[in-house]
Amino acid sequence: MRHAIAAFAGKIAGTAIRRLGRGGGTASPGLIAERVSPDYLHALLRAIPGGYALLSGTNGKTTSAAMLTAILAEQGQAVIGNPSGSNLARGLLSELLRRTDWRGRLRADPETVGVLEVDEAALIPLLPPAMPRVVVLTNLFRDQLDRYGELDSIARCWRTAIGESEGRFTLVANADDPAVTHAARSHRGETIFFGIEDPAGDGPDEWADATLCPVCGAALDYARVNYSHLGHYECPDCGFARPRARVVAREVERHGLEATSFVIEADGETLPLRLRLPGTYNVYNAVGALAAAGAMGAGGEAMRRALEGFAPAFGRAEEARIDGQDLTLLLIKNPTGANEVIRSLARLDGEQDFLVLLNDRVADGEDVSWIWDVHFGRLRPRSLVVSGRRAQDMALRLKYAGLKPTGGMSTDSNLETALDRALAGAKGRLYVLTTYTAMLEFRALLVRRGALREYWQE
Amino acid sequence: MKLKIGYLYPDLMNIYADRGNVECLRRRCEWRGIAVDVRAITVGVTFAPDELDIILLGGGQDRQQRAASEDLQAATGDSVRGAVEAGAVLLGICGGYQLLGSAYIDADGTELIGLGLLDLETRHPGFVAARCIGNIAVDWEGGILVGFENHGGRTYPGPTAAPLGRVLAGGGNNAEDGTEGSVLDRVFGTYLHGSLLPKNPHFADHLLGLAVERREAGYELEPLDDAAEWAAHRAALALLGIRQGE
Ligand SMILES: [Zn+2]
Repeated sequence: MRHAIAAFAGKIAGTAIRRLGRGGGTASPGLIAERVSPDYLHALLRAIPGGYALLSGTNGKTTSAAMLTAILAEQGQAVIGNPSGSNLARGLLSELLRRTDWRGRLRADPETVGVLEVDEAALIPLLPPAMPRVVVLTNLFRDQLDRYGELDSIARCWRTAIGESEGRFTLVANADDPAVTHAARSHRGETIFFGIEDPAGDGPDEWADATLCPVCGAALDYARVNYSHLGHYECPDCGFARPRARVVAREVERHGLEATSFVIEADGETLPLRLRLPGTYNVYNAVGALAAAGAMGAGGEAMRRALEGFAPAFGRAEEARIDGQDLTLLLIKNPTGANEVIRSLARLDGEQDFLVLLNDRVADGEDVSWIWDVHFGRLRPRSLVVSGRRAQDMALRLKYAGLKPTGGMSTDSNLETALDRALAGAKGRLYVLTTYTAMLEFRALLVRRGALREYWQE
Repeated sequence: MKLKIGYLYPDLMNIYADRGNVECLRRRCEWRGIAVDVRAITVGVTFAPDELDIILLGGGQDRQQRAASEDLQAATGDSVRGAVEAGAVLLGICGGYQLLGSAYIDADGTELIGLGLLDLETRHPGFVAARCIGNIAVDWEGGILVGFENHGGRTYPGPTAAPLGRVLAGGGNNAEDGTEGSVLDRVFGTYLHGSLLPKNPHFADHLLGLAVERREAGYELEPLDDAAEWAAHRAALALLGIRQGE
């Protein structure tokens, strides 16, 4: 009965918010329902007929979830998901509420499965009570520290929550991330590790952060760094080391911003793939999604067809056309992810046109210090326009990065006029580098101008 | 003119991108034609007392901070003390600031020994207490400083400590006494990230001024066009509802 009241209250809020034109109503209905009945989310998740996968980690969970969804859909399975990236408990609840009847029961065909991305901190209270079938841990990077305190404590809480789950789900974990594997070692059920064997790497960055052994605190030795702290590591003191990965990518080749090709190897079988996404980080997303798809019972042919036809997820290398001008949206939300995006851009020929958007809302991280860890100096801008709530901070960062675009650089806090300025100054494709909430605002602007459809109608 | 900047533990103590401060000092020297050399000082590295002009130490997580504290009790710590006695400028931020005091008692109750250059002690009240997180503005004698603080530890100044400034908005040293940071001669400690120096060009030039003066008495820093710096400074103040000219 309380669930019915919760669903009712949440639905009314969702309808009202959508009607008022205040975005997709992706979090508030959940917030209201959550207040009415806190265990309602667990009950709804458990009601997904074919079980569900939870994907968590700092980077890549949205793209990995979209890939896993594409593979399962390719096999003809109905999938419940949260593709808008609204991934706190109340966001998950909002998504599920849209699929309940007025008595608060989940409406889903038999065999329907769930693929849900969940924020690193929000995963912890879900693990034992919500009974997922598969849990995917992508990686742990520094991100939004102002919200979480410190990274180590997330890793510690993951480890505890996994241990307390008594092995009731299949764990799919990134073997190349020492923080993830340490958390995964507390798992009592089946663990499938994934990783990259030989990337087309650039080597580590200058002054990369030392990665300390999660067991004993010694600095880890790396035989290979794929990017940031992901790679093949071993502790010189206590023997903690990268576990052998069961699903791996080999022979990774990059093809600019357009594509990456590699060979997947799992249990002695190989699958050559060409992915229409750039960067080592997307290879990780693909391997993780494939390992999870295997755990959800998908076959190799569905995996190949789904991934080769895969279009970028919401706001990740998404393309649009406005006033006859092509543009590419590239989400940057923390130094590691941003540096990978910049590496891909640095491989393009000639100079590019940029619009850079920096916001400091809670979902972006209120501390904008992180931009000083991003190697913006590697960009070769022809024109550059900066906007967002912290446009002045970004402009300052780009000044100190030594960028001097031949076509000039300007700062404009108004997103609409900033876009006009960027379009007027661009000679080629406009690359829009943006933090999460600025991406939502920018996307809404594109929708108003008819360049994109609203994502909840897709 | 030539300056040498020492960047302490870039691999351990850079969780909040305090390397922006290194970038800031490097550029502000380059723009003035001052040659600048940045040297990374990692665990076990030592240097001569007059080798470095400015030493920067950023913030790290507890585990990394522990490794830095241990190293500072050995030869690297002696090098830092020697450089400070010889007149080098030292700036510690957040975890780095805490290590300039006598001790930091972390969340687990473990005591990390500091350099003892500033009269202060830091205690972490445990994970149940709220962290000091958010935008912060501080009234420093050379003008207002803006930044972002994010620390669990509370720093308590001793009787001989002088604060860097008074908190206008934010938590500061301990969220109790209204003080922020600490200064003794050429040793500066503060909780301000942001990064601190790019948005506070007056403070960056204060540090550079002390460093060039030591190498050549009467040397004056050439003024720079700081329009972008002050625009970011004012934007940060506006977030706190503080309106202020340059
Ligand atoms: Zn170890």
